[in-house]
Amino acid sequence: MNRGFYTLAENLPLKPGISLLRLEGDSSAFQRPGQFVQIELPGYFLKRPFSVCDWDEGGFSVIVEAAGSGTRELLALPSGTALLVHTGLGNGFTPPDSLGLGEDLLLIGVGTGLSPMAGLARRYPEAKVLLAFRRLEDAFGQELFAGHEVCVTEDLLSPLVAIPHRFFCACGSESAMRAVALHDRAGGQIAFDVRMGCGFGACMGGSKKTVHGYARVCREGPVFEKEELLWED
Amino acid sequence: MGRLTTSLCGITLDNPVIPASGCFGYGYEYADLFDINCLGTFSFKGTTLHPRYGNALPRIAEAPSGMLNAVGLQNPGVDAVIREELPKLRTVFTKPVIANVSGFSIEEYREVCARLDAQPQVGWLEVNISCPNVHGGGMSFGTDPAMAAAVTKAVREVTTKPVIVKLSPNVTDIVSIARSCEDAGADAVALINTLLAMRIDLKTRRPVLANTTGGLSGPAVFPVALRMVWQVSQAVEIPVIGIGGISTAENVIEMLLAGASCVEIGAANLRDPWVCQHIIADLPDVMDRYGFSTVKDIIGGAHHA
Ligand SMILES: Cc1cc2nc3c(=O)[nH]c(=O)nc-3n(C[C@H](O)[C@H](O)[C@H](O)COP(=O)(O)OP(=O)(O)OC[C@H]3O[C@@H](n4cnc5c(N)ncnc54)[C@H](O)[C@@H]3O)c2cc1C
Ligand SMILES: Cc1cc2nc3c(=O)[nH]c(=O)nc-3n(C[C@H](O)[C@H](O)[C@H](O)COP(=O)(O)O)c2cc1C
Ligand code: FES
Repeated sequence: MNRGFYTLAENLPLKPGISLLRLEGDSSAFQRPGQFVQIELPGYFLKRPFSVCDWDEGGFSVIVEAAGSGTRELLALPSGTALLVHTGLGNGFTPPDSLGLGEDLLLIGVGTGLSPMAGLARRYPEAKVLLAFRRLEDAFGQELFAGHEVCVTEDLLSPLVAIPHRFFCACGSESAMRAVALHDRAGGQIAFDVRMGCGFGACMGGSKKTVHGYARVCREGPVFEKEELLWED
Repeated sequence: MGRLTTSLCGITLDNPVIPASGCFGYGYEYADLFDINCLGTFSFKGTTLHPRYGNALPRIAEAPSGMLNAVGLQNPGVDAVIREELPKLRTVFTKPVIANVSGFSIEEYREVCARLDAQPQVGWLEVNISCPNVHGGGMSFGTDPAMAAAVTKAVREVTTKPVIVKLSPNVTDIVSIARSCEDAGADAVALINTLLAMRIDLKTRRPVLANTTGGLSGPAVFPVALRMVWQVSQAVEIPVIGIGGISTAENVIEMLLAGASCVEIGAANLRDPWVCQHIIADLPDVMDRYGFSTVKDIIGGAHHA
């Protein structure tokens, strides 16, 4: 984990209430899509966790949806605002090397869970993409997957069967990820959000049962192997 | 002796800054970020006889200037702590550590303390009779002076290490509880644990926490904690550890003035993992600014000014 100040450089609306934010600053802690950052917001005690969408030498991007007061205020901040950010948190997606350019890889993003899929898509030019939304009119972000075969749907489950793939990477709400884990026959990796305290492993704020015992979503996760998660609760 | 030195039940602390239980894990997450040997000591996660998963999620909610938690004592159980966590801790922390103990019966407190008593790394046993997030244990022992005394006495019998009893603020008269712990043989009291609290989600119209209620901590509780430390330190002879809402060197000095011999810092570490290191570095300058030459001169200063 690293900590630093980042400059909000760009707010690119993807649809009303959802933007791609670019933050400029040290990007040395980023290793893989699926890792997350915690952004401190003025006036709030807890930082807000967001998946990293992508990064380069000059900074990184996140996709933020106005879900409550903190995210609403974040989206309204003017460019140039300095934000304190914890970076390089959690473990990212690690599809097996045998996937090559990704022709057998399916990237599944549910809602803002599409954010780390955009970073993965750049690394796997042949990967197929499934973007699921509660309703089709909620859809956004297709432009982040230019050059890929993209399926946009409000029915998450049927495309899992219809699109051939050997491995998947999925990110979204816990309930959507549970459905993916239980329906997709391929192996895969899954990331989801839970409410967090510290985000770096010290408070046991968000733990998940796995076959290896209890795992902290912020530290052992947020990306888990499909096979290691236990969904009984 | 440095100017920051203080002592806790006969053991010297290089400084009065101690990360609080549940907010510092077993130290290693922080050891990756700074040399945790700069701390006075720290209190590790609440330990029970058997492994506990803790409460369902969500366990965390936000509050103005603070947070609620209902973790519910997730821990691997005392035997795994002794077998796995303490040996790992030894590689990054060379000072005696505070073992924080919880239980659901007097017998459990006694058993866990007996096993931790045999660990040379453990300097103190901190008996948590104030966890608001478990049912049938925890806080139910800390809200009744007779029960608090019974736990203290049972633990006292199985250890030669100093026994710190950690008190709940969720009582009408914290002074009487502190007195009964002292009478039952406690070597120190630590206060406060979290304040019972809750939040409701406007979208779902349901409590945010799966456990419905949780414990409030962070800067929001500092004045409450300070008041209780002030009252208790006047009423008992044993040392008082001041806990609750501390996040700056100024807060530390204020808590010492109220009568604390040292302080524990919880939620502030979750927000800023380097906060204790920075507070220790800031203390000398802030002491200079207010005219204190040593930490020992500060303790209880507000009572005889
Ligand atoms: C690992 C991870 C990755 C995430 N990635 C993204 C992303 O890429 N894009 C995005 O828009 N959102 C993402 N989220 C969810 C995002 O963190 C929440 O929407 C945000 O914290 C809400 O803050 P608020 O102040 O607007 O809402 P409020 O409801 O006012 O927040 C109150 C408290 O609850 C927490 N909280 C509320 N909803 C969530 C939630 N769904 N998950 C976790 N904590 C929550 C907040 O952090 C805050 O502490 C992610 C969450 C996690 C844990
Ligand atoms: C996430 C979390 C977990 C906690 N777990 C424990 C615990 O296991 N045992 C204990 O005695 N206190 C526990 N506490 C209470 C703290 O040690 C401390 O008494 C309280 O939070 C007040 O201090 P603060 O305002 O500095 O956080 C916990 C607090 C938090 C925030
Ligand atoms: S959020 Fe604190 S341990 Fe994961």
